[in-house]
Amino acid sequence: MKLLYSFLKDMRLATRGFYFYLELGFALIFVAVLIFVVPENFESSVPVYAHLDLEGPYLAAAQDSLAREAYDVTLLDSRQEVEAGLADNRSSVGLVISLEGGRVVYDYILQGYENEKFRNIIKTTIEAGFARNVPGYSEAATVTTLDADAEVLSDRLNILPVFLGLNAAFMGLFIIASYIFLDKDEGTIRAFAVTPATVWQYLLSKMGVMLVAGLMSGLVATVLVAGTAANYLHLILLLIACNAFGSALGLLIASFFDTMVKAMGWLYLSVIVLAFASVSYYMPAFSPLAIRILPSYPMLFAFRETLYQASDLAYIYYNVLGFSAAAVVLFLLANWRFKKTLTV
Amino acid sequence: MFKRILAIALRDLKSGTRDFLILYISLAPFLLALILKAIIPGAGATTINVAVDPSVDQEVVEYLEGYGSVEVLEGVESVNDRVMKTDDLFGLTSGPDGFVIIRQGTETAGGLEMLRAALNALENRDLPLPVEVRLSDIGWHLSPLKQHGANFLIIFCSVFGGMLITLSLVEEKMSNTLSAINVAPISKTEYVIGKSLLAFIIPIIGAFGVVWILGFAHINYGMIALSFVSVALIGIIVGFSIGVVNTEPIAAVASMKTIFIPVIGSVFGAIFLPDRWQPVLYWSPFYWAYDAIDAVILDEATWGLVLRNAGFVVAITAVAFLMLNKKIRHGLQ
Repeated sequence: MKLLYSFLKDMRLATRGFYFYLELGFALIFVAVLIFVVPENFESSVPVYAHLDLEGPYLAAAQDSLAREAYDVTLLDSRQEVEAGLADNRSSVGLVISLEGGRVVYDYILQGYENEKFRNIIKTTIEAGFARNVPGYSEAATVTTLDADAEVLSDRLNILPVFLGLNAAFMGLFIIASYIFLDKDEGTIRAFAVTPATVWQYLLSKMGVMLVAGLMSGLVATVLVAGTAANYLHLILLLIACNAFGSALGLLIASFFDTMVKAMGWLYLSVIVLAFASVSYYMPAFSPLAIRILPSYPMLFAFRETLYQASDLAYIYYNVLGFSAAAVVLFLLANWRFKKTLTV
Repeated sequence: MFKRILAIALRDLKSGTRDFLILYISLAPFLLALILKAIIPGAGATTINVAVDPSVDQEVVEYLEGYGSVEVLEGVESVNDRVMKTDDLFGLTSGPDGFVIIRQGTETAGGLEMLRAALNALENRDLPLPVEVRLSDIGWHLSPLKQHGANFLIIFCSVFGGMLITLSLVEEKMSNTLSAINVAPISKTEYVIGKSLLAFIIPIIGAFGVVWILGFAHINYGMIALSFVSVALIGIIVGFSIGVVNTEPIAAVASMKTIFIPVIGSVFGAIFLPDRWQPVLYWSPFYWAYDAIDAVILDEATWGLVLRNAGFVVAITAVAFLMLNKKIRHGLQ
């Protein structure tokens, strides 16, 4: 009852302030950018600058071959022009096809920053394409797909989990310290000390405010971007667990400092480090252990699961349980520390 | 006048050093540059990740290591479990009918074709090819990840400068020292300049740190310094806009993350938007700063371009300052 009263009072104060509306505005700006600026799917075609140093039937065959490829090919008059094109556009590749001793030579011109493994891949992929037409060629491998019904989200929808993880879930990590230190500076803590409520109720009440703000921000963004495509029950439970984890972590970090400004450096640093998980989220082939051990790493993939038609419930609820348990442990630690410092 | 401005800046330095805030904000670009430097080789390269079971010969494992990374696991079950994890990795086993590639189904497009090509090339290595394939390059060793990552980090230094001003103003509001300024023998302009001094210098140091750590030896330091000055100016307007306009400390702290939208939007827009759409970003000082630094990093900048872009940044920040002038003066009451 005391907790409920404390929470309702904090909510009343929070809704009177500007902060809640700022979070709502931030969510709406994010949605507007996603809907009006970000395309449904990104088109990524590598520009190719090509020079065909060929004549007669060879030239016709090469032109025909290039026209069949799904690349953005620009035909130029010399190798120098190809190299100039590459220098102008650092995302492009060059190709010069010539005839040497009766043999067609495909010279692929790269920029120079590509590593040896990537060069091997390029060369082998091209050679394998030509080898297919040679008599005696055989396919070396068959393919088995473990999840034949695997869904792939649109590029636009794929951005939503990053917002849910780094903004809605980690909202408390960013803000909760400000609430605590503001109360401390304004003397609210002093007034609180003479009420029958305990420190853990005070802290939990603040976490409740962060939870409401996080749910509001996350759900507004999801409803407007994903509509009915999201599994809201799983999403809400995951948001609750992750938001509680973020707020408890924020509380624990804040408990080591006596002013908001001192705590802010570490809190911002934590958010920036946790944000590195989004690198592996967007480039799953690059997932080093240093990123995989960040709590934000499984969090982002769990939020993505809630947007699939057939979600991996085991993965989502493994995260819900994990983050809930971690939130409890962090909260107990923060409570233990604040009991010593958050008093008159 | 200079004495009073210096007094404000030194007071902020003392207070910021005591709180370690200046230390954190000064170190952040260096730390982020080190992290970026560590991930550039891995994140910037396209390779194939494969998990194999003991049925795959050691010779094949060594061959595939020329294309990416290979994990050797105990059996097919372990390979399947590994493939089902969130990162992009293919499984590979070998049987009497040849190799079996195991995929989850959610991998990034192109990866499967690359692995198939590598295996087909091994299988058909004795076939005479009708053509010869050569690879060459034009000697450009700066990867796009390093180019854009460094630039983004430098632009982000302006946010760090802005944070310094915002948090300093928030602290002043919380400790009610801001009102003391009104009765102190210092003008509002002197106070604003004094408050801006550290937020101006620290991002410039951070930006040079990024350039130093990421190793851009060939750049024109005069041009890059001018671009850094414009980046630092953006930080000042960001800091005052948020710190003064928001009357509540919590809203001010929360507002700092809203600045990520124009920063990220300007940088990603400058990278990915086609030329005909670039004018939609002309309002953003981050865009002009990014454009100038990009040209300097690519060694394509001219003094005319750098001066023009710095001019745009100064003009935009001046207009923003004039528009916020009343609010800033009111907020400093």
